Amino acid sequence: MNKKRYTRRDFIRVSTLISGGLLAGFYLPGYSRKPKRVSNRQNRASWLDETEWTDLNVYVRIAPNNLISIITPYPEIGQGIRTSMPMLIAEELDADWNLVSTEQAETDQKKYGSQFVGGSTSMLRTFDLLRKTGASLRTMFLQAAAEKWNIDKSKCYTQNSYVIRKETGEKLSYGELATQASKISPPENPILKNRKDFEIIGKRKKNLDTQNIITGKYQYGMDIQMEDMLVAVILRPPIFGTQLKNYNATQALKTEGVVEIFTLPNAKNDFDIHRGGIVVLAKNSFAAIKARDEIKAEWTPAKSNIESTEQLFEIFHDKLKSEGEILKSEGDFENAYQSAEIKLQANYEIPFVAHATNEPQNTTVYYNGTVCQIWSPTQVPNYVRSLAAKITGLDIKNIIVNVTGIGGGFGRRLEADYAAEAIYVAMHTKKPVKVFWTREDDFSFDYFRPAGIHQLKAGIKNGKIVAWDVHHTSTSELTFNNTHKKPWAYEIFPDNYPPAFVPNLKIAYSDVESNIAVGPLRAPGHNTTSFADGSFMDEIAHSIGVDPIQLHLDLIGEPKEWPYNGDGGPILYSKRIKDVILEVKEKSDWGKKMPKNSAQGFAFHFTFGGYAAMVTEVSISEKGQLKVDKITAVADIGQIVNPAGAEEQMIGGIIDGLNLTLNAEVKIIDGKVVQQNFDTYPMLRMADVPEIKVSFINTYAPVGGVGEMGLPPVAPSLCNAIFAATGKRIRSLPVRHHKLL
Amino acid sequence: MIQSVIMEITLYVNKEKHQVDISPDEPLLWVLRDKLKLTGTKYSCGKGLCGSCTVLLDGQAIRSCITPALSVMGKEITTIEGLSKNGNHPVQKAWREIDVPQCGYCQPGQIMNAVGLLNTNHLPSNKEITLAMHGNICRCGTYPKIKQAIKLASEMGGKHE
Repeated sequence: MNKKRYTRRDFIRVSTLISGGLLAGFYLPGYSRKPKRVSNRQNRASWLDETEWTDLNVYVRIAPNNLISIITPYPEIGQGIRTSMPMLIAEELDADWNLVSTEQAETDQKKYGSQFVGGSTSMLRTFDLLRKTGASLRTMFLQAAAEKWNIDKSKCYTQNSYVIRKETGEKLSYGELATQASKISPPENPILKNRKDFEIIGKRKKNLDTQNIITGKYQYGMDIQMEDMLVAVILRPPIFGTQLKNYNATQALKTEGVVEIFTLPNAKNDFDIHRGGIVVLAKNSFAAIKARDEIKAEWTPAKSNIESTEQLFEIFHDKLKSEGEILKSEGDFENAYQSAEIKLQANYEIPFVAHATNEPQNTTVYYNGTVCQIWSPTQVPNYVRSLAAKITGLDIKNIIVNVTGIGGGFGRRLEADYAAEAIYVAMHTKKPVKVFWTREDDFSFDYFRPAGIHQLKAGIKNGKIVAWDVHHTSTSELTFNNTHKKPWAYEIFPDNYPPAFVPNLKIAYSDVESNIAVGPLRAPGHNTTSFADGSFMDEIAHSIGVDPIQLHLDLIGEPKEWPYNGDGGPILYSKRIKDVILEVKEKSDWGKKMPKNSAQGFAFHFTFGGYAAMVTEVSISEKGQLKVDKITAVADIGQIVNPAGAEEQMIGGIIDGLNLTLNAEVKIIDGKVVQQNFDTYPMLRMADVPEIKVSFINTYAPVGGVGEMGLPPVAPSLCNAIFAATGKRIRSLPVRHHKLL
Repeated sequence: MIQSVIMEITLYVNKEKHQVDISPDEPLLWVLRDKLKLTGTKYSCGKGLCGSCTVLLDGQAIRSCITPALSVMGKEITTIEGLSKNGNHPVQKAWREIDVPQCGYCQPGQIMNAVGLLNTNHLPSNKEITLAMHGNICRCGTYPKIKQAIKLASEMGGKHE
């Protein structure tokens, strides 16, 4: 994304393109037109703006000087997609990687399919498609060159963005061939490269956006600038379910720079996902923030009872006295449990936590009555587009959604509340307007990771786990989103290891309805079940005096394909579990002699198709101060597109996991969020980061995802290490609330 | 009423002189972003708690979100846009070499803070680095790479020639 001040002219130009109905699907012949925007590599040259690009299909455009711009269809939230997706195309296209830059695709489900990013699914969804796109173009270039030379295309080959004539060594660049190639029909079944011939996929590639980021030129949603643009902040109802009664803005209106103060319509339809409130429209951000503080507002009482976290935990405990909805029952749990030699039971408590994306929520909208153009840092561009069509009543072809640079996602931007309210504001202003959130808004109106309790029971006989029961209760995110069908689906995974491997098994869930907004957060469901399951395995191991890793190996047993009905399924391979465990055992030097008050802890978790095992080393000072010294992680995520990016994602996931384990907690008192900024919501800092070693195995398996897999094993491996060092078992998060000595 | 007072002040940003209208309590951050259109300096917490808004004031790293623009009149302010011509400050070079960013939102602030550190301490130890960078949050977890990049920049001579 180039830093650019959008002008009205850009707007008209884009509108013309849309209404002109240009639509080039992958199998449609190519066409030529001027680009509406340029590549992201501003360091290259300003004349890029003036270059006549040839669009070969909806993913690739090539300039006469052989530069290639590859369109990235999905939003970049820091997962490196704007590098890894171009890699897939460039590989099969035989493109010179040094000539590749990327630009963000327009939002168009017909052209690109669903463009959402979440669930570590992007590579899975595009690995074949984008490679075919590249391979198909390569064939078109071969054909174009063959026609020019008047020979058969079998007498040519491609290399580094050139077609080369075998006999003579003559060369034609893709840039020179672009116009001609764009007229050739793409082959229906292009031949893909053999994996051993890959020159880009599987090689460490640097982030294509780094140069723009480190010079301040990369443009995030917050950075959108436009002629005549206004900005707005919203004073939202402090508690979910309350509405505005009356307000006084006399004082606020006196603030220099304030343009208007008005109210958002109350939610009427199911797509009215914004929270309503009072809009402060101003010429600059500071005026808007300042004026908002001057508004005096009165709100109606909340629809249902006003909630606090304390009260919710009482409800959770009550729910655990019931049986809950039985999700899975195998063998005879009761009998096996009763006849077990050792019976264990433990509760693991999970707090609400915030996403705290570094860039607060925001969206810029220009609505003029016939067209609605949106600039949003969103993980769900197609959803924002259809939402805008519903809210404005405009035809979807008149809705343009530009995905901006995004300062972190972590699942928060799978919600579109902040886009929805900006659309309403823009319909009122009829001028470009950026609605932005302060950090305090961001904490108050987050969709938190659900809070809850996992209650686990296990029976052990002859050193084997013979019975396992889990009853999980939480403020289900699907219940909050009015999807009551399977309230448990993103809270607990009945087919996952370890429970599913125990012969006598019962899994139950109880959802708790609440007004507190909850939603997906990196590795949703897995980031809590991993803590409960991984800690409980360790408790079992210690109770029977078995090495924790050995207990896992015993439970895993012989190689077997287990059915896994859920994201990352349909099969859970026990051999892959075993292999990452054995590898981390060796890499971490498991069982090595540790200094006094320090220890290792182990955990494994299967997350959305990815297998990750982890050994965490901690030490506790004489004053009870915890230090995480080292984390060794081994993951099997199958084939890896960009090893540099995959490693970053694992390390980032681990650091995110450390923050969730050690620090993160949101409390709600009387319906209001207590934590408002980073002073009361501590974040992991550089000094808290341990040495982290990540390695990948089994990279010959089919491609998977990597954004979430590093996070889940952190909490259990860390808490297991604390137990090994101190004898203190952590059964509620975050760790900072516990005295360790 | 103080809130309706507007004053015109002179700011020196990235070696250029700017006349801007501000209100007396307006933080430098918003003047840079909204009035000078220098959006490389980021808003994140507004309370000096995260470091995303870090700029240099006479070579020292400060949090622009809690620094009134009025208080920096006549002083030399450097933002990420003015750090070097093409991203060739040694700290930026190191950032590029190590390929630090993920989402990138905190990186301008991290870089400016690192420059501030190296301006006063050319060869910081590991401990001095973590101490100096303590105020800068990276939500994606690029801390290990940030540390590596600062060490590399320090080896390359830290200061911009």
